[in-house]
Amino acid sequence: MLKQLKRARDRFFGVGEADTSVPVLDGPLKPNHILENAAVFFEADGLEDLCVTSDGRLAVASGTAVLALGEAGQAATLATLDEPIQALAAYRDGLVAATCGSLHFIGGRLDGRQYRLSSASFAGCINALCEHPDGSIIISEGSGRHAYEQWSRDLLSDGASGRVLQYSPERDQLHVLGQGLKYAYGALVDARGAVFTSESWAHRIVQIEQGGTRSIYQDLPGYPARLTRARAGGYWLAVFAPRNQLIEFVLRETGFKNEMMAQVDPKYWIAPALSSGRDFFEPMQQGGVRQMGILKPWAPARSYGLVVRLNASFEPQYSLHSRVGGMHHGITAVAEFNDALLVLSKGAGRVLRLPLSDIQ
Amino acid sequence: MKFHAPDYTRMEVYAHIGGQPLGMAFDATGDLYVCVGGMGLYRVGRANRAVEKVTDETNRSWNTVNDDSRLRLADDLDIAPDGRIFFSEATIRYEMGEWPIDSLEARGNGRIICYDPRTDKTQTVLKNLVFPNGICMAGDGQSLLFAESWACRISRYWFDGPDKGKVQVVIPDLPGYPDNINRASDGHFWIALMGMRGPSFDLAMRWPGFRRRMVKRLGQDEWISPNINVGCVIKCDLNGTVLESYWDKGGENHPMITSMREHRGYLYLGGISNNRIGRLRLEGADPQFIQHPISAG
Repeated sequence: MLKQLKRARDRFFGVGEADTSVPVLDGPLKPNHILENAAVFFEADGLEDLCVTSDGRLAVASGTAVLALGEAGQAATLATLDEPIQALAAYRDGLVAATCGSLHFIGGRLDGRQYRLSSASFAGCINALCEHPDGSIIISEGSGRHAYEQWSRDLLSDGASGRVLQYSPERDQLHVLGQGLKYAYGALVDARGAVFTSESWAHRIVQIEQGGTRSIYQDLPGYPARLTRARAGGYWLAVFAPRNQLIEFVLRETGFKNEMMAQVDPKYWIAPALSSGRDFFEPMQQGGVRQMGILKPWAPARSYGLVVRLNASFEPQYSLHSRVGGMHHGITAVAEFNDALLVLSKGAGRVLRLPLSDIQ
Repeated sequence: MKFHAPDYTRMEVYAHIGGQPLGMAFDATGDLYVCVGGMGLYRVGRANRAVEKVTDETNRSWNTVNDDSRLRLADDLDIAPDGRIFFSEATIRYEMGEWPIDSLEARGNGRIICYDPRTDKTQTVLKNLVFPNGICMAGDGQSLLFAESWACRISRYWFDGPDKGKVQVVIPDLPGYPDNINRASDGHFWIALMGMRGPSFDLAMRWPGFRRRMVKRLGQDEWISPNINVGCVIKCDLNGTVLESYWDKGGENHPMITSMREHRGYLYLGGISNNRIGRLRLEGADPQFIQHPISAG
């Protein structure tokens, strides 16, 4: 009863759960064109994740293949798996890649080994991996109900079934570090062994603690994705899609969004996207109408490119952007390689290269 | 504006109207009739380019509480062979700059009005239309075609002859939002699609409560909108069969084409939120075709 009264009050005043406002891009998140103007280092279909191996090589997951990229962006295939790769990380002297159902070890001492992930509530939505100093692998699982490519359905269904898992190859054991997360997307271990993940649908970064989570950085203006450590201290955060008032509103319109999910092709949902503006069946907002042939910079964004530099205490320092109407949207992974920042734009199918000296 | 033939590089201001000019047509004597959003139907004399008001009101509906006699958004017009001017008023509820609100309301807010120069009377002939937009004479002297933008529909209306008063739907379900209709040299019709329908917007149109809450809670720039960042012109015949289509799918140069007109072998394109006029050479079109030839003087 009290809950219903509160809901009625919220809806009347447009506050609480009916509040559709989103944080503005300001301060360290002030927009620029750095990502949009970045040099294209590599281009391929189905780019997903990238990492740097212990011997200093750059590895990229593209579809079912793991590629090693040279200094000038030339690719050599390291391995080809049976299913599309959803996450890739350096592990000891080799690599570990996650597909829908398994972990695959590539190169190094464990080359060729596989671990089949399965449990009662498992949809195969593994989306990030990282090595823990104790020799185990930290795994983030976005959703227990929807597969990785159905992430927008998980958002629109108010998904809160994400988990952070720990796999130990020595003991061949998997155990759960945290669960009930609103889409865990990213795995990070700091120097002291603390585990962090992005909770995308809650727009925040959390630390996984015994028996719960602690919010570290909240009220992001987008949906955060994978995290990596920066060599100079602090972290890089990829933000794969922007928050948008219309989408916030649709998330609160249960009947409408359920009918949309049932009837409309997911490409054309009123939902965040990794790229947009290429198809006129996509939903549009009134601020996005071209005026005098120009898409205005204040047009509401359905997709966006954003990388945030965080310091050691997860405070934003500065950010790199590809704004509305740009190409380099849907950033899912970042890595430092040879004094440059490599940024993976899943929306554009590109790896971008930015010399670190230019952006600091 | 007037662009001078033959190469159209020289231009001048033809007349200052004082509002947003929309549909235009020359009558047989060379007077230019213009629908001006927010003002009504205006005439620019051929001889002295004097701008004069033709009409800005019609008969008041007997069954409405508010006075709907004033014209809010006169949109497009065409002139019948006997000199009567038929023009559309897209919406009686919103002003020129507020047409996007009407797109979310998508109700029968518009009407078609006839001005008779012989009697100087203005009379509403069709009511409760969903954003009636383009008007074009069908060529038989008895009927006209009109477009209802948010209904994605082209209909034919007989204003004379044995079928007088009849309305027949010609195209019931266009994939986009029709704007102006004009004649093609081969006797068919050009229709500008100002934007294309998208599945999410179509779904929102079936959820009036969703739209009502959206306009209350969100700023106007955030509202869902018909996708009008795309340019499309189609050609159809009087039976509604679409014969050809021309596209700017990415909306690079000509998003939101609201009007087009064939003239001497070229198709000219314009959009109300654009700053350019496009020209497309039409293969096999009559190089002498003019939609509104000036016969006198």
